[in-house]
Amino acid sequence: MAKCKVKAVRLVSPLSQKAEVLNFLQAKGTMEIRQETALSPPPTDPDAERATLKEALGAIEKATAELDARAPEKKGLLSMLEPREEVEETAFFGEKARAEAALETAKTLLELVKQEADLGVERTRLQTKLDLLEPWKTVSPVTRVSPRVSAVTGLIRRNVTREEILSAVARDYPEIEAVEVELYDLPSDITDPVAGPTILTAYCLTDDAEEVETSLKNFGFVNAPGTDAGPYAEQAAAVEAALAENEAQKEKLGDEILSFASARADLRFAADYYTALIGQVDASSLLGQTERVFVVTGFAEGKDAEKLKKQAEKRFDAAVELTDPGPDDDPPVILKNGFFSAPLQNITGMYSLPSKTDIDPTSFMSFFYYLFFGMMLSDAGYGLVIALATGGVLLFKKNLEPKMKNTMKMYLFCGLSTVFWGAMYGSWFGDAPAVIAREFFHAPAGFNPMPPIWTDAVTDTMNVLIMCFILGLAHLFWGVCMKGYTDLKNGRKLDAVFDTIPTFVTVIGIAPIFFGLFVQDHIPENYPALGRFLYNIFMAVHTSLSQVNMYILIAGLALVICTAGRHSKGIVGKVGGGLYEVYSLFSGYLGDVLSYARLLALGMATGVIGQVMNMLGTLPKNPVIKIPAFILVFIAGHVANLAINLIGAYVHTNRLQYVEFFSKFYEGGGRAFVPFEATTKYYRFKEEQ
Amino acid sequence: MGNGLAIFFIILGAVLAAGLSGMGSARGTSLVGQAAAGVVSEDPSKFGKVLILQVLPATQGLYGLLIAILTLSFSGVMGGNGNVHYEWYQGLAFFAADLPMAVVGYFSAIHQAKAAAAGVGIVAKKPNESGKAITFAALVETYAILALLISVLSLSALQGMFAA
Repeated sequence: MAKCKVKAVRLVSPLSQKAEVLNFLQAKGTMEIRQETALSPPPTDPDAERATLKEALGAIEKATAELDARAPEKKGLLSMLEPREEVEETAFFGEKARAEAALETAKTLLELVKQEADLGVERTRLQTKLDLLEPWKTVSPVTRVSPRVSAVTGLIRRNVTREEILSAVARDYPEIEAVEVELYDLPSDITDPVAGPTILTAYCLTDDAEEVETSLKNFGFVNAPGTDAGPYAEQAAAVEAALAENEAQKEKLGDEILSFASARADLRFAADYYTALIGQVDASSLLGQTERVFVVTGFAEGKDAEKLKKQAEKRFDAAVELTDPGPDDDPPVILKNGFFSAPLQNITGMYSLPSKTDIDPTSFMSFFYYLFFGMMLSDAGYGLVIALATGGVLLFKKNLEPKMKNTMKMYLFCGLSTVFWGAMYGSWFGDAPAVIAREFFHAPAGFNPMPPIWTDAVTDTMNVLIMCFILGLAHLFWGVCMKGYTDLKNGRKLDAVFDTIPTFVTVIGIAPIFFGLFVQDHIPENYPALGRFLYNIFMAVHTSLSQVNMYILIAGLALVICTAGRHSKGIVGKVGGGLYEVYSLFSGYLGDVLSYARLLALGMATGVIGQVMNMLGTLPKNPVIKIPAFILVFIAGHVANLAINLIGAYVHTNRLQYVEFFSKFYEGGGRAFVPFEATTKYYRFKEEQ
Repeated sequence: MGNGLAIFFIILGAVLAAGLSGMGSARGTSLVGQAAAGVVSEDPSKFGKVLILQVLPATQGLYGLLIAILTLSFSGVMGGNGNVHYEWYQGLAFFAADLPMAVVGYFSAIHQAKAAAAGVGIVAKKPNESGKAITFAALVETYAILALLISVLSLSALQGMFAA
């Protein structure tokens, strides 16, 4: 239920068994490999090996992506819950040939894809050629009429008249007189009254031909394509035939590529195989090696280490030595918690893992974590949806991956807590029970079939706010207790007392004054029994505390001033430290406690938005569409509200743990355990019995 | 006329408390989010750490919402039987009580975001020191909390005064 005992592991084995041992260690995935310092590393070139393997993996992944894009696999809604396929270690690493064959397949496939892409480029080229020929299909141009007279044919990409062309030439070369232009009539599917094109033949004296052509080109004239390859119509027909051929080839290639879809399983296997090998190359550069043996050093969790030793020594000619990590070692942190807290290890890890002197805070925060999450989501309907969905998955999917299982468990507990708070606040999909009773069953206004067990958070804001502050104070005090516990664990008995008691006394002394600012003298008349009970208890405690709180406060302040500066030198430092602690206690706890107002604010946001959704759903008064409209708005609205508030509840629960709770006692900074394992996507290794 | 104006002021105060604080939080979380996205693009495993920094300036928006609801509820505009009678200056007093949260909420969210965005840099370079980054940014929040406190106290005092 805490930090695990970590063993330093040192495995020595003959070089001849290196590959098998690495396969074994990787399949187990329970040992972290660290750099061996006493011996020199293996004399291989890991960079070159890694590059080759990465290239292979890249080809396989690209081929798989290509197949997935062309023939997507049908995936169910719950496919992300499916575990990876289980495989025996020896079977997996024994199928080298299968992986190599799949690599060849991938290369062939990628070659075909490349050919297909080339065809695409060719197609674009042909298409452009065809576009250029298009206006000329009906024209057979004249180029030269006699030795003295030249003719030049071409096209201008807009609609121009004969006069415009002639005057353009006259402007450029006023001395040329003998010019004539003939415009062709083009069918209307080729030309446009504005955009053109205009096809023309210009006649002039051969001596002037160059100037006339220059002038025309200034005007946007483009020469007609050559006729060496035959008349335009024939040329166009040839290009069209080439295009059709291109199309057919492309289709053939596409079919050929698709026929590789059956190799998908092999490709996936190969992807995992090469991923595993890359992991081995990385690990292998950390090993130590002599002429005959190699050495693996690292860390493993105590029980895992024992198991590893037993199995390795049985299977290989290996010697495994387990020791406790020395003072110079930097052992990783492994957390282990029970059913209730294990799902939250990730949350702790996201902040920082415990350092050598820290305790594992996971099991100490789990109760408040689930409690606060439920309070922020605070709708029993939403809680039920989450709890049923995750509970159902846990019940019916037995072989979930551990990570997924923990996520499901976390949301199951969060969901149950949400049901609890939703019922306390009387929020079931907002105010759905009351709205449905009123709109569809003609219940009298104000009738609520599911009244709150405690109170309605939206209207009874002040009392819920006080509840938030009380829970917040409990959470903070719990953090201070953890501080004392950490002190004790590290053998600082005096600190364990002085870090906790003065804080408790002072804050308890000041709390009634603070709460007094928020307390209402009377509670609403329609307050339910449980709410009245809780309120009375609080008021009783509050009033009795108020009568003596001045004395408690003074005692607390005296304690803080006397003890908080105990680590400073000299009387001035000690008193100064104490006074500073008084300041930080007041400003710190004031801010910390008020911060728990988010429990109310987020909870209220869920409730109010839910009510708005229900109101929108009941807007249509037409009896025919009333029910379907309500169902539609109800589902869409509440799904959106749940999604938004789920994120909000998660993030702000984390914040309360990290900023308010952890800051009381937790340092963090532990190194995460990074086991040598295969980060495979499709397969996982079977656990040996 | 007096009552209508009073209710206008009460609503205006509530709207500004929620609106300005919300605007500040939106700008703040966006600012930190941009810095955080840069870090996550390099190292996705830091998501959790930078997310907390991004959430820090979200608090002001929630406080603003709280003040808005307390204003409406204490004044009896919301949740009461709608039977409220105020002079215009009494409404103005509710409005004044909302001002600390509205103004400080807006500015503290943005300034806290700047500290948090700088903290994202700490997380990028020294992930183990993220607790310090959080502390730097959380210090700015103190002033939003003080404003919240003053707004709540003023509202509470007004309720007591006008109810009598």
